Amino acid sequence: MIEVENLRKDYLVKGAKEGIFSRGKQKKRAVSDINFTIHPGELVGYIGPNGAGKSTTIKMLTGILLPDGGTVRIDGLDPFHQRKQNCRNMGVLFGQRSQLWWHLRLDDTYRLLKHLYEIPDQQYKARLSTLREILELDEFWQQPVRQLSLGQRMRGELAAALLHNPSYLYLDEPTVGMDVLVKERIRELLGEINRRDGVTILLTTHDLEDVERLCSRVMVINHGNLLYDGTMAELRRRCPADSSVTIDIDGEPSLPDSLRNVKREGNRVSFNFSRHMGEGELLAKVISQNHVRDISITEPPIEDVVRDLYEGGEAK
Amino acid sequence: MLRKCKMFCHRIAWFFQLCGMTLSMCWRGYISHKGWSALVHGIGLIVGYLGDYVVLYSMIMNFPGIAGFTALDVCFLYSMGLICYALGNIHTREFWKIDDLVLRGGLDLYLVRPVSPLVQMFVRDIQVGYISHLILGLGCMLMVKGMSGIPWDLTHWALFFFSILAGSVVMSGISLIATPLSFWWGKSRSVTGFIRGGLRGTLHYPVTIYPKFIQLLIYIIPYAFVAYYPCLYLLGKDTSPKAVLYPFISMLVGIAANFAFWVFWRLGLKKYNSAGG
Amino acid sequence: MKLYAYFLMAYFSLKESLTYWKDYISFIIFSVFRLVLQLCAWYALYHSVDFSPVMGRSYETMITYYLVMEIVGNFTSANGIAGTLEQRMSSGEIATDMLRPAAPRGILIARSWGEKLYYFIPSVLIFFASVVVVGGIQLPASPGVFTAFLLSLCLGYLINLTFELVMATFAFWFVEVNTLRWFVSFFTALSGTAVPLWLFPSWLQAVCRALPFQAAAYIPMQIYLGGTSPAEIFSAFGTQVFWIIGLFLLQEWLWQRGKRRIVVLGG
Repeated sequence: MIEVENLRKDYLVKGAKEGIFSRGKQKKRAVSDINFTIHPGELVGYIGPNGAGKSTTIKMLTGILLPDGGTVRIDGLDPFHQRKQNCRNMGVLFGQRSQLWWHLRLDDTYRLLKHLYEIPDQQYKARLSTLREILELDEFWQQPVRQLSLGQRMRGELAAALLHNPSYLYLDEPTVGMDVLVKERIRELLGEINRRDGVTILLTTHDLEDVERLCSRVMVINHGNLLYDGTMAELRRRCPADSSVTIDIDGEPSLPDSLRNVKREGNRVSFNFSRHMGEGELLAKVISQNHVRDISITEPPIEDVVRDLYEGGEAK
Repeated sequence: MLRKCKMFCHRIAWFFQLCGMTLSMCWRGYISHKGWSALVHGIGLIVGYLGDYVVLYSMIMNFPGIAGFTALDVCFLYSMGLICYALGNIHTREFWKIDDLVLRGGLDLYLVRPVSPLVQMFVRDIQVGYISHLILGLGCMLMVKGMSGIPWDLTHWALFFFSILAGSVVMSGISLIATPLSFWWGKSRSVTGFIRGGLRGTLHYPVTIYPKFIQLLIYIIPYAFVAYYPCLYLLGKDTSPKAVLYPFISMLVGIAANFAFWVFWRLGLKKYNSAGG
Repeated sequence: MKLYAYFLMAYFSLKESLTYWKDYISFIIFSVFRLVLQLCAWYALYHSVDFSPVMGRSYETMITYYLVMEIVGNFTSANGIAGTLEQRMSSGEIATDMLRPAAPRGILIARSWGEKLYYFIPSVLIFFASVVVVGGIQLPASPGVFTAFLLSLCLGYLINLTFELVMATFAFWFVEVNTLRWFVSFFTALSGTAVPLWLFPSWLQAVCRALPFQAAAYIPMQIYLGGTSPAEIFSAFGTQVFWIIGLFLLQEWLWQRGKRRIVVLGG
C-alpha cells in the first residue's frame, strides 16, 4: 500500500536578474500537500501538464528525492531513508531513458540485473520465461538492443523493470513517442501485468487515451495541487464539457427553444447537451415530443474534460 | 562476528563477479559495435601514441638531458604516465557524462536500484579500448629498461608493480575529484576538462622543470605522484633510502584523493536528493 | 552573393560557439597552460646546455618557433571537417546538403572557419601576450619575408584542408575518421608542430620531407625564421602547391566515386 500524507516539495529557482550580480532565488512549490492512498493491485493514471509536479511526485515515491514535508510510506517503508530495501520491491521505467545496454542483447542486461538484485537462479529462470511469454520477447531475443524498434525496446524495458518481481511499478511516460498501434499494444501488456501478477501500477502520461483505456483510477495534478482523484466515469460526470447528441426524426421535428447549438440536416438533428447542468429533462422532452428513429450520444473528448479541470484549478 | 565476516566476504565476491560480468559486457559491446574496426582502432591508438615517443625522444636526444633525466628516462616516465592513465581511468568514463546525467536525470536510473550508484557507475562503461595504452606503455617501458641497462633486483620489480598500482589509484582520484561539481553548477566540464586534459601534459617531464606555482598545482591535483615520484627510485635518480618510500606515499595520496572524491560525491548527492536535477 | 552566404554560415557557427563562454574561457586557460608547460620544457632543456645554440639554433629561435607555431598550427589546421563530413555521409544528410544551392563541402568549410576563428583568436592573443611577457621574440627579417610567410601560411591551410577532405572521403569506404585520425596523429607529430624538424635525425627528416604534413606547418615557420633565400622560398611554394594539387585531385576522384554511392544509398 502506498500512503502519501501532506507531501510537499519546493524548488529553488533562479529568479529574474536583480542588478548585475545578485540573482534572486525564489521558492517554487512543485508539489503542495498532496494526500492519497493506493491499494495493492490498483492501476492508477497520474496526469497533468508539463511541470505540474508529476515527475517530482514519482521521484519522491521512488526515493530519489527527499520530501520537504509530509510523509511517504510504501508498505510501511520510507522510500528515501530505506531506499535500498524499498528498491527491491519496485520497478521503475522512464520512457525517455533506457536502462538496456545498447550494443548487447536483452539477456545480457537481464543477467546483470539478476546479479544486482541478487535473484536466485531458480526464481530468475521462472520469471524470465514468464516475461518472455507475456511480453513476447522471443521474436527479437537474438538482436542487439540498438536494432530494436521503439515498441520492442519498451517491451524489453518492461521486462527489465519487472524481473525482480516487484509489487510496485512506476512508469514515467511509458508511451511517449510511439505510434498508435504500438501504444495500444503496450497498454494491453500493462493491463495484463496488472491483472496477472497483481502488480500495483502508477503511470504518468501526457496521453489521456492511455488513462482512459487502462486505468481504473485517475489522479490529476496541476501547479502542484491534486485536483482530482477518482474514477474516470466520475471525472466525466463532474465535468461541465458538452456531450453532443444526434437524433434521426420522422416527420417535422419540434424542438424546445432552450436547446444549444442546434444543427439540422434534413431529418437529422444534432445539438449539445451537458449532464452537468441537469439538462437530462430537456433530452427527455425532445425524445417524447418527436418520433425518434435513432439516437447517438457522443461523450466529450477526455482532453476537454481535463482541460476544464486544469482551468478550474488555475482559477483557484 | 563470524557472520559479519562471512557477509563481508560474500559482498566482496559479489563485487568481483559484478566486475567480471560488466567487463565481459563492455568487451562484447565494443566488439559488436565496432567489429573488425575495433582492432584497427586499437592499432591506431598505438601508432598515434608512438608519435609522442618520437617527439619526446628526438627532442631531448639533442641535449644532455632535462633536469637530470635523459631521453630514455623521459620515455620511461611517459610510459609510466600512459599505463597509469589507462589503468586509473578504466572505471571513470561514466563520470565524463556527469553533466548530462545530472541535468537530464540519467542519475535517477542508478538511484532506483538496491546498489550504491557509485558502484554501478564504476562498472557501467569499462574502457576496454585502453588495452592499447597498456600494450604500448608496458612494451616501451620494458624496452627502455633494456636499453638503459640498469640492473633491477627483486625490490625494483616489486616496487615497479606497486608503483603502477599506486599511480593508477592517484590517476583515478584525479579524474574523479572534480566531477561532483556538476551537482552544484550543472556543468563541470570546463573544470574536469582542464584537470583531465590541460594538466595531463605535466606527466611527461620531471616536475622540477616547472615554476613553483605549477608544482604547487600538481601537488594539489596530484599529477606529480602518478609517475614522477614512483619513478625516482626505479630510474635511480634518488639514491637516498627514503626514495623507496615514494611509491607508498603515492599510494597514500591516491587513497586520500579518492576518499576526498567520495566525501565530495556524498555531499553532491545529498544536494541532488533535496533539489533534484 | 554566394560568397556572402558562406560568410553568414561562418558567422553563425562562430556565434554558436561563443554562447558556451564558460567552455571558451576554460579553453583559453587550457591553451595558455599547455603552452607554458611546453615552454618550461624548452627552458629546462636549454638550461642543460647553458643556453648555447643546439643544432645551430639559439634559445630565442626555439622560443620564437614555439610561439609562432601556436598561430601557424591553429591557422593551418582543418581538423573537424572530416568528422562532420563523415557523419553527414553515413547518416545520409549529405543527400539533402546536395540539394541546396551551396556546395556541401563549401558549407562545411565555411562552418569550420567559424569555429576556427573561435580557436584562432585566443592563439593570436596568447602570442601577443607572450611577446610582451617573454620579450625577445624574433620578428621576420623584412616585410618581404613576412609577406612570403603569410602566403605560405595560406597554402599550408589549403594542404591541410585538402588532406582533411581526402580523409573524409577515404573514411567513407574504409575506417572511421576517428580511427584514421589516430594513425594520422603519428604523422602530424612529424609535421613540425610539436618539435622543429631540425632536431630529428637526418633520416627522419628525409621521411618527413616526403610527407605533406611538414609542408603545411614547417615550411611557413622556416620562412618566418629567415635564412632562406628567395630561390628557396619559391621552391618551398612549389612544394606546397604540388601537395595541394595532388591532394585535391585525389580527394576529387574519391569524392566523385563517393557521391555516386551516396546517391545509391539515398535513393
